[in-house]
Amino acid sequence: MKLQGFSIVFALVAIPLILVLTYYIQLQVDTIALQNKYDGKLLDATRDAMSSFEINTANEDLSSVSDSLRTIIEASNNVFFNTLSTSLGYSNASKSFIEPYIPSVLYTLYDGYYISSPTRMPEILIDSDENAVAVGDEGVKLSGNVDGKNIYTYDSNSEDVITENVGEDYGQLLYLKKNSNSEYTTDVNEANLTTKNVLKTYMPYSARYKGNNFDITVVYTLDNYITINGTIGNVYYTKSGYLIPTKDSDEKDIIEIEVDDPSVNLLDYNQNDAENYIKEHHVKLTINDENSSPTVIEFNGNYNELNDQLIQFTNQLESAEEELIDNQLTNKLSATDVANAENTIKTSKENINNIQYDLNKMSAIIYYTKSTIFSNWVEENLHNSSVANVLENNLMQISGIEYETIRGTEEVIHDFEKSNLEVFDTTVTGGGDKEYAGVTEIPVNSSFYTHKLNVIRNSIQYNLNVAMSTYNTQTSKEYSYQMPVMQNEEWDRILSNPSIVSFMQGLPCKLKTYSNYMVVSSTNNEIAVSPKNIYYVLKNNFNDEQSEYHRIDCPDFLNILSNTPESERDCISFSSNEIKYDRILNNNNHYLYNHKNLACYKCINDGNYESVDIFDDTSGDVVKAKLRQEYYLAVGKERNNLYKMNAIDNSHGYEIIYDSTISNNGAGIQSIDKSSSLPIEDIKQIEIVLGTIKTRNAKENLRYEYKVNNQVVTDVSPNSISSNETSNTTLILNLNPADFSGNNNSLNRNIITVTNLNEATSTVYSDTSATVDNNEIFHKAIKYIRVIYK
Amino acid sequence: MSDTLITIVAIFLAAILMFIFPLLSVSERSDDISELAVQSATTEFVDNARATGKITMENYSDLVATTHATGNTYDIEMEVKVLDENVGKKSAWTQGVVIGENIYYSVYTSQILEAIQNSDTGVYTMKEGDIFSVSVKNTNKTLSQTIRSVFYSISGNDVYSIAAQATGVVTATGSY
Repeated sequence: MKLQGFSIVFALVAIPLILVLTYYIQLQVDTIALQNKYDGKLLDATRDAMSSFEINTANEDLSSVSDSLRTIIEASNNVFFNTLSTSLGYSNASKSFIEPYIPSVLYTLYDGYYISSPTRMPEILIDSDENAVAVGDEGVKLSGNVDGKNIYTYDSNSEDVITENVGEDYGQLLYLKKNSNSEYTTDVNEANLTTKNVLKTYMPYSARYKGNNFDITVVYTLDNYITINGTIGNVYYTKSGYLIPTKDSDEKDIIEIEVDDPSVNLLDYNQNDAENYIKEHHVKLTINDENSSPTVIEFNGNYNELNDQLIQFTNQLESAEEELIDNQLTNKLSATDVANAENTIKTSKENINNIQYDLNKMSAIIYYTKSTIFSNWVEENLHNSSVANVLENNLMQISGIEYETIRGTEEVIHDFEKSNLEVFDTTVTGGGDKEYAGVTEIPVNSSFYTHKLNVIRNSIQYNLNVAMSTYNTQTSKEYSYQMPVMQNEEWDRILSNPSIVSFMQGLPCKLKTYSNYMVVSSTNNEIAVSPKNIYYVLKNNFNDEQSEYHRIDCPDFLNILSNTPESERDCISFSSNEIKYDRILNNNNHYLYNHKNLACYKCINDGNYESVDIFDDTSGDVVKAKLRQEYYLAVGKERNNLYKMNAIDNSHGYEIIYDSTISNNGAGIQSIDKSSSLPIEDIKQIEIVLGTIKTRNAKENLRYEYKVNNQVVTDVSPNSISSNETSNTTLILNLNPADFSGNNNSLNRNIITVTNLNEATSTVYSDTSATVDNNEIFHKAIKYIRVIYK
Repeated sequence: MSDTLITIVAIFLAAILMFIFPLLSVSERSDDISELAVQSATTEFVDNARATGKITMENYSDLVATTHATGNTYDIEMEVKVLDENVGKKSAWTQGVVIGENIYYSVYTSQILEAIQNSDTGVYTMKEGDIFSVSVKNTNKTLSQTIRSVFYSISGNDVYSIAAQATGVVTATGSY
């Protein structure tokens, strides 16, 4: 063959090859491009869902109450599907085409999480108003009976009601029957199933711990707030509070509290009692930091009075502002009136800011005091709870799973049996602290945080996996839905702020099948506070259109403070969501903006600046010390004012030490008559249920003086008790911490004694008509004694 | 004489058909594959930045390393459109800001890199609502471009055969 022949043959062979290769590579490029497009759309839809969540929580006063939160999440989920279907080219109405590709959406909130996932559900019959229809409602007719089960039909225009021959079906919901479009049944097993996106029940971030003498359940949150329920020793506790470090490395107390009355040590109080005390007294709180000068926050006022004044000045301000607005239209006011109104606005604004600052200080002191009381209690009672004590359901007992990626090893499921971390240890476990946020914040790399993240992660991982694999068994699609392995840094993001994680799988994407997930975290919401998202403005400039608000570490803010006289350096702080979603209506439906300050260009708009380390105190700078004070104040105030879903009203423990209603009947049940397990100094309250006090005279009004271990108890309710009553009376003795501090005796019923203030020491017992001691008559009447610990 | 001429033409044709055309084609495919790699690296970089609100030195170096592993040199252009919002200005809306009221100003590669290098943490922070875009183009002449220039030449500075681009709205405010 000639050369020409060779070249033609070569060309014939090579050109098709090259063409196919070109086409194939082009297809690969298109696939990647399409995948990127889907990624972007998924991220945007998730962000829209988060925006909807933020707006709804900001505009709803009860947004942290669980029922309200549920509707907000459902709305957010709707927004997600609307955005996704619209951006993928479907209309909103046909978003059901998209739903099968979303095996789940995860909402991580402050103290728990929701999973939204498609589930097969029986199709319920609904009327034109979308109310469920039951047997016995208008229009339901009995049409037959198959295998002993009634078949019904429904005519929405009919007003007939059937009640006969329906038997037990009456009042039951009706489901569409399988393979039918007009027949209904009350039997769920016969019902036609449809796939619906369902928001599963709220799951708290909780773990159960069981040791030798304790069995408790701990509910964690995204920050350092925890709730503890369960028994320690013989005492049943329900406690909640913020866990903070209480001692520095030299074992020195971090929080110190001084009050005017030297006999009062607030840290001996119950959390709630301490809060009530602070609201009405002069309290000085000192935060000791090893590395810098101590920070002092002082409050001297009365909460109720301040609140009344605040309302009064706010009303003054509002009416003066409205007068001026009306005047712009009518021009009715004289020049003096205008000047007066302007003056009122100025003074009431000043007063409001001053009161607000006092209230902020009060809230902060309450936060640090309550947290210290709670943390001391945790330290005393749960010091030895190492992670090895974790004994949950199977979730915690499965062994750890690790997954190798090109980025390194990702821990999919944490193995708790191997680790020996102390659960409530708030000190750093190793390495320096990367993000030092003050002496009262638990370091990110402490064992408490590490353990908390692992608990939450395992719990979410497990339930999300279950949701996805359940969906997998219910669908007939060829695609198999799987829970992806998320990276450690993504988990960090999910578990530091309320977040939404959306999963999209099974969507055809040219050469492959799309599978990815997107994480969006929120920084502007009402359900969690992070110290980084608090802004500050000088008290005198608050709500002033001419001045700016800043972050705490903004160099401009440091300058502003340095150039302000020392007496005027107080700041008012607020969280970022307060500006982004400002409350807009006052009581008269007039627009009201509470945050008129402008954003600092450097730190809020741009965000890239050389930050000031307010904790660096090498030069003993007074301005930095002031910044530290404002920082601690702001963090304490924001946390204290946050509404918590899982909070327990009365943080305390209790033990029943006497129960006369159980008699030793030989059946193994023992009557209770014992001493309290904890000393009297730990007791907050004694609840005594009294039966009939049998004295000679009918309906004698008994006024007793009560003594516990020979110490008089002054705070008693009710003040007086009638004798010979047939109903039970509950007597509450509140023990004043100042009187009983240091009392190490334990309480039993015999050391609760009474003296009758009305009569002589002895009286006549009606049953035997013998003259006996008042105390004996009282003791005979006691039915139960419950001790409530601090 | 004419036979010789035809032979010479045939040899040239054969040379072009047998060597240069396949080479050109293969080198173009190689560019396509590079583009694929560059495109996915760019998208990943942008998505990561807009989801966290941070441009980090670490991620940027990752992008540079991945793109240069294709054997070409690249010009990586970043642009952050900073939302210049005045959140103090209020109107009758639920949100403090009104769509359309905002102005954006842009910050470019050199400014961003300078800010990253000057900061202690190696992070450039963006806030929710900013727009981040990255475009990557090759700066060297790839093999396919060299071969192509034998036949025809394209003049001008913006001659590239590998390009990738990704943009998106930042979804979280980066923490400092």
